[in-house]
Amino acid sequence: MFMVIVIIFAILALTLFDLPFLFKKKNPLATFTYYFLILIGIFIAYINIQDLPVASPAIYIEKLIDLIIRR
Amino acid sequence: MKKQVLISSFQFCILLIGFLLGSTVILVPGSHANQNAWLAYVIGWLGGFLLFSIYIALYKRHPEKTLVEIHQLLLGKWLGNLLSILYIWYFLHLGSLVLRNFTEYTLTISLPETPLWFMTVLYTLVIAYSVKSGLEVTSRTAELIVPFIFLFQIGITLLLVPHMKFSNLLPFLEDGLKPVLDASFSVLTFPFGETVVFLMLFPYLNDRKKLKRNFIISFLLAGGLLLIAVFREITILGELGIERKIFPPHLSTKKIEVLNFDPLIGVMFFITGATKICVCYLASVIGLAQLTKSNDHRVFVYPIGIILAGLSIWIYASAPQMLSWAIEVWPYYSIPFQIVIPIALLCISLLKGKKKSKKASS
Repeated sequence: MFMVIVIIFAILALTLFDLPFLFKKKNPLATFTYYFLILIGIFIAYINIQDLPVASPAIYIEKLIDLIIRR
Repeated sequence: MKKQVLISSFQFCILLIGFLLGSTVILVPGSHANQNAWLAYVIGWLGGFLLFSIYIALYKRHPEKTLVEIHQLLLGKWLGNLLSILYIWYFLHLGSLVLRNFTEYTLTISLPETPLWFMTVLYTLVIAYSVKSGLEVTSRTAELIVPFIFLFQIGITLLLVPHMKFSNLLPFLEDGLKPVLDASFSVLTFPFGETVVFLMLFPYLNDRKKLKRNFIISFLLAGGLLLIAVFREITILGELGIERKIFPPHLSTKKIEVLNFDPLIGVMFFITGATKICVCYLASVIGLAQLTKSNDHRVFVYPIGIILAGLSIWIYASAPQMLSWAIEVWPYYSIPFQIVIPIALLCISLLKGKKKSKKASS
């Protein structure tokens, strides 16, 4: 758990470098997208670090294609 | 809107060549056609010419517009933006696939004790730095290093000539044309159809009149070099070698007795893989910047880099799963992105153009 906290903290701390740009531009959509992507990044990092048995997008894409072309 | 950063025709050619060579320098495209892989490759290559011509035709109808802008123009705000998000995902996915190829290759061949995450983070840092520096810097770097690939590939091939057995090319079309056509479709989608990502970069070319010429030169050079590599692998390793081994070029290079040239394959992949990931990464961040109406793409480099690195580790459980996914699923998954949507967009654009000209004449 310690590793997870350190990595999440590192990911968030590094966003500080982009903050001046985000505040200067005053573009709420860009700011929202930026933090949304950071959240997705943290989510993926959490899955990887904890080695959680969460199926990756590749598995869902494969299932969808199997369903469409009925392999 | 005029794009601020512009790259020269030569830089564009080099980017396209580096992109096309990409992961194909460590894999054999169309390998499941066995000894007829070369024929599958040639058919896929010709299909690639046709596909890229469609992308150019689409761009020529909407000059100075990226794919995201073309979507908004032809399909409206909502549908256009939805499609753009799907394409951004596709570029990101492609980038993570190549990144995983690279890390798997390094771990399997050179550094088996190194953790996967460490290689991924290191490689992502280098690529993110290049992308943050912009398209111009990425193109200049590619301009400097990609030409070495020709030297390495041709040099390795010449040294391997004594080991080639041309009887490995026989029997010709043993099981008919179907397996060859199946394999050629997979060649079409990897690597040629993947050049759809360049629809995001066309507007950054300073001399757009030479676009067609640049594309033909790049496709001929990169395609020719890959054809030589395909012939080399078949004649040296035979049908079983290219189909069963994970990284055939690594094995064939091992046959050179004088010196160990095997690391050169890794160096080549480092160069071409980096070019390909950079292009995909750039296309994703430029697309995001245009979607969010942000003037600078650099702000999205960091979050996309975290996702790219994380996704490349998470997406496949192992190297065999990665390769089987690339062969069995990727061609079907790519159909809408590489073939259906660009053709549909071109048709919509033509229809809209006709309507406009009719209105103008009436």
